[in-house]
Amino acid sequence: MSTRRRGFIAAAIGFWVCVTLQTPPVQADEFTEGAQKFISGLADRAQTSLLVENLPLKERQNRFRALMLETFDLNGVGKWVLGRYWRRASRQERQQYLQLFEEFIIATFTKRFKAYTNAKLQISETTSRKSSAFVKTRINRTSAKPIRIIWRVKFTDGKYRIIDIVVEGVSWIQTQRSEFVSVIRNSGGKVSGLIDALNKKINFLKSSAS
Amino acid sequence: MLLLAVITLASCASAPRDDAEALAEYNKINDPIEPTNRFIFSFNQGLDKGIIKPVTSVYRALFPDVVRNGVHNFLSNLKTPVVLINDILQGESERAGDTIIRFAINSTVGIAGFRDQAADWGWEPHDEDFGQTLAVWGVGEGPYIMLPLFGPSNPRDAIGKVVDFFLDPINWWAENSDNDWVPLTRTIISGIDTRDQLWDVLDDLEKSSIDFYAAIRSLYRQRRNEDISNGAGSKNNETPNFSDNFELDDPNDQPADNSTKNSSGKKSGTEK
Repeated sequence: MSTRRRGFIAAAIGFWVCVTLQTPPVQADEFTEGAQKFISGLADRAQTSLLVENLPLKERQNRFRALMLETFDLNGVGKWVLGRYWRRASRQERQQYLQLFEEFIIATFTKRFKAYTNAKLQISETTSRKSSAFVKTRINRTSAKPIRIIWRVKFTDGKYRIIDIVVEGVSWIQTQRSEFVSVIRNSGGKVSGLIDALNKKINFLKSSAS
Repeated sequence: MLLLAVITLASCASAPRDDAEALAEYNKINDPIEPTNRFIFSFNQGLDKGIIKPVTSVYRALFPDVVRNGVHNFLSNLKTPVVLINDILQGESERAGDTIIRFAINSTVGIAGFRDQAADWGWEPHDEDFGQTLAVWGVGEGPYIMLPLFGPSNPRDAIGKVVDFFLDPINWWAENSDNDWVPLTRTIISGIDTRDQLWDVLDDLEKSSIDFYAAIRSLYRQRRNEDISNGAGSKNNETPNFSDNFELDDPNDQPADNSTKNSSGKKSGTEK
């Protein structure tokens, strides 16, 4: 808890009083507890199965993909990101889009994950609102400020699934939605414009992957 | 300047009138001069590729992390008076106290600010500016604008930047003692430092986005809201509420070519 030391200001001049403001006990229900375990389990699995030394690149990519498919609700997020355009899309466009969305997210996240290979995730607390749990974590870095990450998790069909990642206050799905909506608007409100753009991007990401 | 005004007026995208959902979207994007903004954005990108990025890469090559972090800390420490004034203007006494203690520790033990000793001792840094103060006072952000060189902004934050400049005692001193090179040098070094801090983020974003301009716009707004709420998460910046916008599992989401039925009960009106 970063604000813990705020209470010291008054007492700071002169002597050091060892007061620890304790976090009020969170109503740890089954849902938040499960969500927290789910995220810490995910972090552990990423460590043990992805950060293995001498793992061939192809194998690591496959494992990463499997992990993402298992832990993210990519279809649900994909639909939400499209917003009102989801209703306008034809059946074929929907299928195409969801498939491309999956490819796109996996490709971009694979790139991102590489940047945090040595980072350790530290869970601070979990809260819940409506049907979502918010697992608050930090990634500590050696030479820079720690990064705050909130994992938004839902529980359906007996499984936990990630539906958003909020990095330093920036929501992944929100950003993705603004971007996709912008692309659709600039191609005359057509979902096909987005599909083309995604296709191009995925090809670019694949060709530049190393 | 006149030219800019003309372009701005000419490129004003008109708001959709007869489609409530489209109008809601237009208002949410809140970027009425988008074509002009995009033009300035590409100008800024050219500037970045031509000058700012190459200079920053030399800076990164010449100095190790430790030195660059030191410079960043030093610049942050110099901003203390402005941060403090804005802490006070926002009625944030605890944060104002933090700012004073941080300044005292870092200017001495932290060797003129190069070392953020205060953070190690538990007083973590925070940022405040007059744009945030205006927001706390209830001033709306206004439409999105892309400033040449300075990047994403809005009228509120742009005014905030100017006010911050005049609030800064270092600038008063420079003005009164004919040391104009000080603010200029500081601005240039701050620019390089900011670009350095954003190095990985921008790199990643540009590679992975399909509309870099729109991604930056969204990111800027979300970051500002986060800063205004001091990281507590403001109302307009929570991770989106699915039920308010689009159910993740909307039972009525038939494809457009399958059925004319659309999800009813949306407050925002009807579809075209």
